[in-house]
Amino acid sequence: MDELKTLYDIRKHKVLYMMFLPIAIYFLVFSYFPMAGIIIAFKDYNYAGGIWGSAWSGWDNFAYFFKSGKAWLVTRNTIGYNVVFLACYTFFSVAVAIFIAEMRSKWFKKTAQSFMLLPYFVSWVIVAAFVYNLFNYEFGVVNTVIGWFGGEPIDIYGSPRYWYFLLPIFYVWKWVGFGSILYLAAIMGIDQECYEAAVIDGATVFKKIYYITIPLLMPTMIILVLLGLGRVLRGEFDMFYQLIGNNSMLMDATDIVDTLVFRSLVGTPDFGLASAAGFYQSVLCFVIILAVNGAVKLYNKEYSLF
Amino acid sequence: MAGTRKKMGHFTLLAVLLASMLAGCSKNNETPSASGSSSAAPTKAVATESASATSSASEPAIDTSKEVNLKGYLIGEAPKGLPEVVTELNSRLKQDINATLEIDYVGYSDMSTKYPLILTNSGGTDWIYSANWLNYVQHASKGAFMELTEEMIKKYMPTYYESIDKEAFKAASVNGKLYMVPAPARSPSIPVAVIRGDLRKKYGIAEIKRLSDLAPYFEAIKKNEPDMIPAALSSNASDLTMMYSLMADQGQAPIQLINGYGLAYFMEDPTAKLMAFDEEPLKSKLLQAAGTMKEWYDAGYINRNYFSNKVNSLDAFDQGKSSIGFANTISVRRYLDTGKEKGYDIELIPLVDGEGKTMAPEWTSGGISIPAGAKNPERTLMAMDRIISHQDYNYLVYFGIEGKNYVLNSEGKLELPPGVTSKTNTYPPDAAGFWFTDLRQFPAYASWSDQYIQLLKDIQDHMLYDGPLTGMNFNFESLKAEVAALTTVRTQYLLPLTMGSVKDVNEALNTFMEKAKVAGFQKIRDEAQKQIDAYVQTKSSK
Repeated sequence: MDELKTLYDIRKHKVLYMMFLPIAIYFLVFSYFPMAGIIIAFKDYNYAGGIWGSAWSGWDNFAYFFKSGKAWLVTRNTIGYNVVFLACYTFFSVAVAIFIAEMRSKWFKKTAQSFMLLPYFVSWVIVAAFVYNLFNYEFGVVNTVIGWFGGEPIDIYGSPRYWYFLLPIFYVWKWVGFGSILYLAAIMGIDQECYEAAVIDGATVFKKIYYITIPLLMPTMIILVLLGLGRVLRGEFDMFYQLIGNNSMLMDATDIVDTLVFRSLVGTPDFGLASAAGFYQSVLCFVIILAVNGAVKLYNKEYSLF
Repeated sequence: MAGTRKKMGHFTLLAVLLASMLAGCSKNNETPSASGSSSAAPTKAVATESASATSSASEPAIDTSKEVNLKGYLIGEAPKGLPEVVTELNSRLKQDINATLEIDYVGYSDMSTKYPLILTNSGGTDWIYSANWLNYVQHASKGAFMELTEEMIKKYMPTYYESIDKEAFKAASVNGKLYMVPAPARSPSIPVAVIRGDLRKKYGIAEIKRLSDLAPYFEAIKKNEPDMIPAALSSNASDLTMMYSLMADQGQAPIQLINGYGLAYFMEDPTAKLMAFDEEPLKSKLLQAAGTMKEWYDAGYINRNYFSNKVNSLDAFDQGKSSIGFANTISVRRYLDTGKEKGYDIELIPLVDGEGKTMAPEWTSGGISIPAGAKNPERTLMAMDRIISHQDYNYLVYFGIEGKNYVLNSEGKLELPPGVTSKTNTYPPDAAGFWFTDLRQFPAYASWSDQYIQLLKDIQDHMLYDGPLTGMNFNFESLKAEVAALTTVRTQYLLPLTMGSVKDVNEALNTFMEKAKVAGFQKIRDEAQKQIDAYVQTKSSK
């Protein structure tokens, strides 16, 4: 019966379904079909056999990851950094969106927004170049300025403690412009009558923000955070690789799954080993997103993703 | 309504299918007739020409009646003047063998990802630059390349075949099969360091013959040149081998490393017995060299953040920011030119061992391979025969267009044409990635200093040493996991030791060996030694 119903529904709304078709095809081709390639992780890849013809190798491809003795360390680092990034990113994006929404001067609003969005378009390669020029020991801007005041130069690239702060700062600097647009859109969608009623009741700006804007932003925030958690094991490879690279002094503090895999495999091009790491990340991400979604569901069914 | 539309949909689909099928058929039918009609004339022309070129009358003419476009990849970036060179190259190739060449580049930055990708999808690729430093052995053993036989090379590449030492084919074989057309001349490429002679003389430092003599030079630079770092090193591979050169410096015990896995053998030991870095006599040599590096690092002669620096020492040297640059005898040529224009007096320090010897480059350090499944291997080989071994082609792809990119002066030396500087030259020598042509045909450059010309001569005369393992290719396919794990251990624990950025050299060496053993060091060592023994055995029985 249900199938008949679906068929009837498709026939009735065929224009709507047609409109959906391109995006469905897009996801099928670029997201669902390639999933089959995951079997490379369990194969001893060779060019003659290709994806399907190569011999099976069981769990062998996963061995290197655990042999390095760093599997736990990098998993912990990846999750740790991503959670901190996500928290900072959400907090600052919401804060900036609210500031911008409350601003009266249109000109200042637009300018501020443009400047904040700019870093989003700068690639990490370029960021890495100027970060090096800021922080390098001999001629870095920071050490030159310290030198003018007669201080001792500091070796930023040699001390992990600075990077616990620098990395989140750079992350937020790069992404906050983009994030604030999302939240700003949500704020613009809030019914203005709520604010008008609040003003008549004598609410101050801060009270309006606290009692109206933030509660109404909650669903958006939760969905974005959930989506962010879905990527929690996918490290921001570009950023770590470009800013830190093969810096052995920082390595234990800043090594994430992606950089470890890259470093291990850059000399041995092997699709199987690389896919094994991807598989490991995907499975953990899947588990995490199910768990978090379940937790959100317990708290409030409306807020969960599915 | 819906019903009719559905039917119409089926019809359209059918029509499309039919049309495409018909198109396919007609194409198949057409091809032979089309090529048949145009074949007669060019075949003859080519046949007579190739016969006259090889002067071997018995060879049957090679059929080149069908015009083909040969698509292939080189490493690096296309120089600005490439289109002109390609146009000229193609007009010659079209006439000689009825083929054209299409050249694409794999950039350095995405080399490790893009190169294997090209090999998986060899549909349109006819040839690709390959080399041991691009994992030639690994790719070949996984079946990425087409097998080439000596007969094929003899038939399609006669000029090349005549000029090459046949030993090369053996050396470039993997599991007994050849997958590469190796460059016919082993390059005189040995590692060198360049220093600023003008500054050395200015501060009254004695001549520097070897790396370990550098300390007073570095000290003078550090004291007197505030805008310079004595050695501004980077994470670039050529900058990370300074310690090994210091080790080789120490005398009659030149060593060769196995991929930086913490293993080495003495170059002149015919059995090539492997030693771990923590075994004597290797250990004391290593500790001494690492100790020197640490002294220099602590004194500020070496920049602290070398691992995050992306400007390699040679470029920093060229910009006047570093007092030393690391290069090889080929890559340094461009810098000799620009240095001369800037008024540097560049002095070269060949990085050889205490006895003045260095390992001769491998035959597999550059060549052309044909991806498995390529459609025109014969024509590709014919084109490569010309590019590699015919002097006019070779000069064209390596130096560009005569009169525009280079001229030969009255002494027969290579010069830039009047009005062109090394900056404005649209096709600098060596920059286009044709690193597999016959170097023996090249002229000397007018910009080369006497010291450089002498060095090239010395290299050919007495510096190159054929170690016991020349021509051997390691294959660690069965130990992928161990290799990967050891690679990360090397980066984290060995690299800082070799660069002097550790607190205590002894302790750092112990930590590295400890971690390496966990990662599978012993397995790799056993496997490497097994392959070495087998190779030495076959070599001595020959």
